Amino acid sequence: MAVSRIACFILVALIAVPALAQVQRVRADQNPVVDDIFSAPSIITTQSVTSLPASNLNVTIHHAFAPLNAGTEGLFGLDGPANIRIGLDYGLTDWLSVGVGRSRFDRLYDVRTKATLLWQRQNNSIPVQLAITGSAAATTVQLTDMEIVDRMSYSAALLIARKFSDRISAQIAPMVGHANTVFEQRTQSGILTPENTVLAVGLGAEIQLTQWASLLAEYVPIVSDRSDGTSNAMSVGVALDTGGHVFQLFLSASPYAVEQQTLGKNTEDFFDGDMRLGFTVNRVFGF
Amino acid sequence: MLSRSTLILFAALTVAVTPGSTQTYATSGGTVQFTSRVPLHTFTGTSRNLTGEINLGTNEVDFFVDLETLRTGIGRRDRDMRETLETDEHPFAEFTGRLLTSFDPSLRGRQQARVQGTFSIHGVNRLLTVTGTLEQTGSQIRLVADWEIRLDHYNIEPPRLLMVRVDQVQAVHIDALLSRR
Repeated sequence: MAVSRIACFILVALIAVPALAQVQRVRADQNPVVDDIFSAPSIITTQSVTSLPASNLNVTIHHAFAPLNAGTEGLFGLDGPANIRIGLDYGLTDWLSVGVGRSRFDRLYDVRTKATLLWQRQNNSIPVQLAITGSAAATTVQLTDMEIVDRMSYSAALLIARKFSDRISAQIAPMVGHANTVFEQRTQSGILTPENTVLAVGLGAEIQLTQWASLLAEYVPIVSDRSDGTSNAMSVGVALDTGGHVFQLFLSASPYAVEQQTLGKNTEDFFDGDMRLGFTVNRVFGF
Repeated sequence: MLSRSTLILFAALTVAVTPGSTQTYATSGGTVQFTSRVPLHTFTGTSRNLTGEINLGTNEVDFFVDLETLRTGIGRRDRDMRETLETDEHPFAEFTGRLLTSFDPSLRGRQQARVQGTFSIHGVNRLLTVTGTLEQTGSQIRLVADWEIRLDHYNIEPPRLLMVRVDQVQAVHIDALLSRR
């Protein structure tokens, strides 16, 4: 009895052992990060939490036409003065990027950086992506008696974003803008007093419609004392991801593409119809 | 109660049929490259996470790579590639088969090697024969192989770059140094 049991055992062993022994399949990253929370490093006028990978160069052209309410005479803003920002951002590492840009309005040159501090994980062990941004800008408008320090403005933001599903992402971004020099404006209704420092909470969302198209929305309410005559910037748009480019087409109640201008200088009100047609082209190159 | 001679016999048989681990060479840091072509443009996805082993005793070959480790140099394109390959559902590309040719570790230089087995990607398994080279380099073996796959054979829809579709044919290249285990 014992011998037959042993024979049986040996037979099983002989049959089983020659089968192909597979190496255990193990994921390289057991808890991967959530892919791009927003389709581009900017939502519309403010930066998104999406970072540039190391050695990637993102070339952006942000173009906001004049307000649509110029009517047919101004071809709905296409004939009016447009603000254009041309920018370059480069990923030094997967978590740190630096950028430069030049805007037509105020003849503004800016440098900026974005650092990702936390990455949202697929298993929700980290439920949000967290990044900080900073920007310094100098206007080169011809004004007398202005030192470079007087021409400077700054912004900083903490970006907190989450991709709730494959389709829906949202961001909340406490931010501050500061201008070293501000000017009072005399109008028919009185003197408009500006603020040097303004606080805001940027809100943004992206809803994926198809693999290539998504809806964008952005609202930047000021939560501190604000410069007289300014309004909260609001924009809606659509992003088209073609594989090599991300095109963003938008309607925006702000002509600016630099946060300190959006916070401190925007006088347009979306709900009063001060909308501008605009677009941003993002093109990434790998080096 | 097993007799002593029975135990010895069992042990001897087990040793006789168990693949010799001393003849197993393994890696977890080999290189895999998938090269894609579109008109006027070529890009390569590279991973340095090729994992697997060759058992020279049994001629078994088994490799896999986590497709989420492929990098093309542009983050957005990496994401598109992961979506195309549906890596959430099918995270690995795998090859399991046998060496059809013998390899003599005492010989210097590259020796041609043919393997036949099952290549799996995107949840589709297909029989494949690949020709490459094996080379003894000190205590390690270097494996190099190239072959091509058609995306439609694996139910993979080629992604688009602008309006142009990526070519159906993808060139695969692997290069790995395997250490004796």
